[in-house]
Amino acid sequence: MVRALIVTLAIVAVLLPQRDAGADEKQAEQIEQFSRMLATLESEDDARSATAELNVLRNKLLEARLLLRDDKPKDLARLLKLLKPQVQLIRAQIDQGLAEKRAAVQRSKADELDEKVTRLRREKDQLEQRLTVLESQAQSRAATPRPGGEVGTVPVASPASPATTPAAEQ
Amino acid sequence: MQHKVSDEKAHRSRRGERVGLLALGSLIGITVMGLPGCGPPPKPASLIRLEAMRGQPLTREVQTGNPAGWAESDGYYRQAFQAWNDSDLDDAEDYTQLSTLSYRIALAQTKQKAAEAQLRADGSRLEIAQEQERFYTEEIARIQARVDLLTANLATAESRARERLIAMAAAVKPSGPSEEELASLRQELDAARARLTATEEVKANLYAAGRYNKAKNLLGRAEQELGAGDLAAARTTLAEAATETEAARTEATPKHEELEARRQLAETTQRLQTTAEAIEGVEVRNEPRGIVVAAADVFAPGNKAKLRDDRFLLLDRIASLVVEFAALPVIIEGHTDASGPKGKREALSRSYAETVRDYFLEKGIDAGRITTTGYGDTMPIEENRTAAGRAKNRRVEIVFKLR
Repeated sequence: MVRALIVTLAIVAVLLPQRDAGADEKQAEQIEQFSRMLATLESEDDARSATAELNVLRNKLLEARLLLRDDKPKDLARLLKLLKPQVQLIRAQIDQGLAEKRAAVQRSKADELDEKVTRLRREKDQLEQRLTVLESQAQSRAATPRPGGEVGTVPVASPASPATTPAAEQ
Repeated sequence: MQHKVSDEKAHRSRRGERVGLLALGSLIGITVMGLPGCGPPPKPASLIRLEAMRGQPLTREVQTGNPAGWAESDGYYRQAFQAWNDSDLDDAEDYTQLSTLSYRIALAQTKQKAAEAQLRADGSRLEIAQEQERFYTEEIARIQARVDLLTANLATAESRARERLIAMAAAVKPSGPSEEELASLRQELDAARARLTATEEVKANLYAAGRYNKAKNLLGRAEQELGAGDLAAARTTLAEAATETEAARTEATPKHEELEARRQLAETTQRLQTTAEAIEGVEVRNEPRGIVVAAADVFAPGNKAKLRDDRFLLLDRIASLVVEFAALPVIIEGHTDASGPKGKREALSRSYAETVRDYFLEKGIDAGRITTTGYGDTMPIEENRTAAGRAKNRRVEIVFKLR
């Protein structure tokens, strides 16, 4: 009987998890670390890109505190294992949101400037047409004899300097 | 006693061994139950969701855009699958969670990379657009300067040319309007006067005296302006005069037409009455319904409408009157004396009227102008006791309707 009891106790000793005296403090410290991370991430998520995932992290931390209070280290360990990737996901979503926001602002600026360039190009074309008409008028006036017999002298503007359009225009 | 204690110990020992054996048997049984052949438990819902997520088209983006992230997620998935296969549901759940989170992290990083690539592309586009903006702004300023210069030069040349033309014109002839222009405006003035005079046809000088006089005054002023050589003012005044002339005609026309109709009616009435009174043997009355020409004693006594032979000449004259005043409708009324059957007198009087009408029709008078009626002996003009009185009552009255 004594022998059977000894065997049973040995099996129980092997099967039961080893209670580490410092395990509780370590887990509590981890929870605090994640809480600080949560506060940091919340402050960074101005664009509210990760609101849902921040709520998930908040709820999991609450659950972790309850498990710590109820002295369930094994369950707590499983939960803590998931908190790190949860934090990474929030970080990735915040970064994604910021990048998309910057890209949208940049695109809007580029679109506006493209429109302005189109307007300027049209304005330049119209001005060139007007200049052509004026030059033609000036030349015909210069060629027309005056009543006294002399030829007019309207100064014609110098020929347009060949402007080089930026390559990107094409 | 000692033997008894020894037996009891032996009994307990055997019982302990039996309990140990039973526990060992149970352990073996549980192990055997768990051997292959029984299969894994039902797949957890979270693992099924993960597999569905991995099957989405987005997965290809994650695989190509973030291979390291995908590899991590895939590794966790394989561990989750293996744990489920080994019936270790806790591990399966944990690895499923880890795989899901890794997948979503990889996806977010992929999207972040795409956004950053777009940012770089738009940055390049922005730089190019800024360069184009500078170029076009400079070009516009350059061309505008040339346009301004040319415009100013042309304006100066134009101004000088005008000045030269004015100087030449001054040298050739004195200033003032040309004879052609003056002649043309004088013609217009004459035409305007003629148009104003024409409005007197509708008595505009009477019925629209205000406008007529205003138009007349304006024409006088236009003439003065022409004389002073102010052609522009003369044109304006002539236009005002034309407007007033037309308004005077419009205002006068309806009044003129109404008064003209009245005048014509009075004239017709007078002429008809005079002409009728010239016919011997008829009595003429001017009544509100029109001019009444009464011819008495035109029918022989009796119950038949038989015209007396000596009265055809009278009827001919009346017929001439009807022909002359062709615009007036005519009513022929028959009247009898009080002799003969009373019930037949009205019919007889209608026969009198119709007989005279038929005679008129023979003279070519339009039937559409004539209506007939009979009053019997109800409207005598003389006593019926004497033959002379009855003869006068047997009569027809021709009414010329004036309105």
